[in-house]
Parts: sequence; structure tokens; C-alpha cells
Amino acid sequence: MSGNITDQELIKELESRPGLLAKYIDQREQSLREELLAVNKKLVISEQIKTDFLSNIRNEIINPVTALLELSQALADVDESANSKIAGLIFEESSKLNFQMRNILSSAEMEAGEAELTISGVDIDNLVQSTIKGFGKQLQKKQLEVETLGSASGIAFKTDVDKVQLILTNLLSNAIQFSYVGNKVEISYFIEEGQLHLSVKDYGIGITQIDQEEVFSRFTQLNRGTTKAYPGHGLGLSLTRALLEVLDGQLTLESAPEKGSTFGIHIPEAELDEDSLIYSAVGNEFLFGDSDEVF
Amino acid sequence: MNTPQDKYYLLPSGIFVDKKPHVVDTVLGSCVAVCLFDERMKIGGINHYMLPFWNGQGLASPKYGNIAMDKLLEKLELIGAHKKHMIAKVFGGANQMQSSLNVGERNVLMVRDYLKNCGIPIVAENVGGEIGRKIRFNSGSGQVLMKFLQKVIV
Repeated sequence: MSGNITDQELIKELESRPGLLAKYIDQREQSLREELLAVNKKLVISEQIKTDFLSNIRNEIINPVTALLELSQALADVDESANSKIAGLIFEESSKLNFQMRNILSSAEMEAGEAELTISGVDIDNLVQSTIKGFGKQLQKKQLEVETLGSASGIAFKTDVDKVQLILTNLLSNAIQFSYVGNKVEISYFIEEGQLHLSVKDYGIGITQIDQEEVFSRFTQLNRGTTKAYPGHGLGLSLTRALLEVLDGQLTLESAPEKGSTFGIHIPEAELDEDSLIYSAVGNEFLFGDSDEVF
Repeated sequence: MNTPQDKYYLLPSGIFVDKKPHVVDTVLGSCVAVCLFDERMKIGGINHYMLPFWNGQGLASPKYGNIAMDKLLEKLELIGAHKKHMIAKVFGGANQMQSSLNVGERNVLMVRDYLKNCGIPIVAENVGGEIGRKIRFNSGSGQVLMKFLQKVIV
């Protein structure tokens, strides 16, 4: 027989042998059905993940936006004296929204492999203070006090300021969220041998040893589903970890239930531009000559 | 082929794909960088992953080989490249002496399997050993320059 058989010829050949075609079709159908079921199962799982994600995100975005809309409506309706208070509330809700959006966008950027470093000198004192200031209202609400220990004044620490700020914002946001009313949060930091060490300590609910790895999972909150007691979409810590990796830094966690948690970050100082980043990484020049291998 | 003017330094967990030819530098220890090049379109891209597979925890970023390869292919196809015309060059995967997990080796094995399944031939590779590498990929010609580092890096 020649090598080229059309489908028609093949079917004809099979039809000439009673039962064989039916058997072949049955087998094929069976294997296709199995494949379909397997794919379907995967789709159901991925759909579930997507649904959970979307419903979490939706609350995080829609609630602040709704508040913004209602408050601005109110601002338009009431007399002058109440305006500043309402404006304050608008600011609070907007900054929450801003924080959530930055987390989502930054995560998307990391997942796309498109994160880049923008290095500049940063005054860590300023960075810490301004980050705390952004949480003013939330701290007031829970009667929390933030204690800062340490100093890095006058030093321009070279790093990616936006990434470090987002990390700090996430850690502080968590500390506030999981603190009990009236607790305090401690932020301590120092720069030593070209490394920034910063820790955020709370005296809140804490995390058991077993759960400590789990908290870094994407979209995981230990307390989930309808019993979910804390807002958030569980992106913060996995993003924090990924951001630190880009900065060549590390994240440490010490925690015990009911004692609170201490998250520590350790970031080496970066060189000022990308070319010297390469020099520092390998300790010798990055020049190619004739002697190098070409592929 | 002239050396492109545009330069890019690829960080670990990053992916670089651009229609415009670039010179892309990256430094590898146990990480692996895969340079894919579409010979017909003359466009290429490169990734730089640290671990072979995403374990389902943390961000699904191109830190992991399987994700880094999926995304690199996806991005290349978006700018008009096609698997059929692609060739691959694989670098890195040095084994650190202090590590017993053979991350470097597993990184390399993962991508060999992956490329085989895609039908993309590996036309050049320089992997394994104990010394890190730096490579310079010309995304407009597919050419890669490589040199070993003086000392072992992480």
C-alpha cells in the first residue's frame, strides 16, 4: 500500500472489516472523553481560583470607590464647616484604593517579568515617617501607637524607593490589621555595612509555626471564606517577598500565636546605575573581548 | 550584523522581548537563561529563571522555569515570532558547591524537556560546572557572547 491514504480510503478500509471501525471509534471516543474530563477538571479549579480572586478584588476596589462617590456627593451638599472632615475621609479611602491598586499592578508587573529597578538615594527616616503618616486614620481608629526606633538620618541609602515603600506599606498595613485595639506597633531600622535592616513588630494575633509558610502564598489568608475576618486579598506578603528578591534582599518572620509577629527585611544597598550593578554583582568588569566564546 | 545601540540589563526573574534589536546582558549562577530566536523574523527574547517549577505558592512569576518559558514564548508570539522558526540557546545552571539540591542541574533538565516538547531545537548550550557566567545576547541576530566569572556567585 502506498504511504498516502486519504481519510475516505481509511474509512472504506475500516468499513470493509465489520466491527473494527466501531471498535476504533469507541476507543477513540473513550480516550477523548477522558481527555475532556481531565481538561474540564482543570478548568473548574482554575475558574474557582479566578472567582475567589475576583470577588476578593471586587470588594477591595468597589468599597473604597463607593465611599469616594458618596462622600464627594455629601461634600457637595453640606455646608462649609463639615467639608474638611469629609475631605479627610475621601483622602483616607483614596489612599486605601491607591495602595490596593499599587499592590495589584506591581504583582502583575512581577508576574510578567517586567520589574525593573530605579535606583536613587533615599532618606529612610523620611520614608518610614511618610509611610506611617499614610496610615494616620487607621491607627487612630484602632488606637494604635507606632513607635520608631533607630535612625538613618542624613544618609541617602541607594535603593528602589517605590519598591521599598510598597514593602513597608504592606508590612505596616498587616501589622495594623492584625493588632488588637490599643496595642502598639514598633518599627526599628538601621543601616550597617551597606545593608538596610528594618523590622515591623506587632502584638496582635500572631501566626502559628505551621502557618508561617502558608502566609506567603498568593491569595491566601489563613482565615478565609465566609469566616474571613480580615479584609484584603492576600497578595501583600507574596508580593513583598517577590519585591525583596528583585532588590536582592531577604524577609524574616518571627511569630507566635497571641504574641504577635515581627517581619524583618534586609536589603543591600544598590549601586547607582545598572552598569555598575553588574560590576558589583560579579566584582569584575563586564567587557567582552575577542577571546570570549560566541554562540 | 551591527551591534544594536539599545542595551538592557536583565534581572533575575525577568523576561526581555522587544521588536527592536537590543543587547541584553545578564549574570547567571545556578539560574538559567534561555535565548529564543526566530530565524525568519530575526527577533529574539531571553528569560532568566531561578528555579525549575512554580510550586503554586507566591507570585506566579518568571522566577520559575515553567512560567518563564511559557511567558517568553507568549511574548515572542505576540510580536510575530513562531515556534516553528525558533532556535534556542541555553546558558547557566552552575551547581553551587554548598548546595546539595542541584538547583542548577534541575533548571537545565527542565528546559531541555520543555523545549523538546515544543519542538524547538537547542542549537547551543553552555551549562553546568561550578562557575557562574555572564552572557550578552543580541536579540537582533541571536548571537550570544559568554564569559565565565572569576569567582563563584550565588
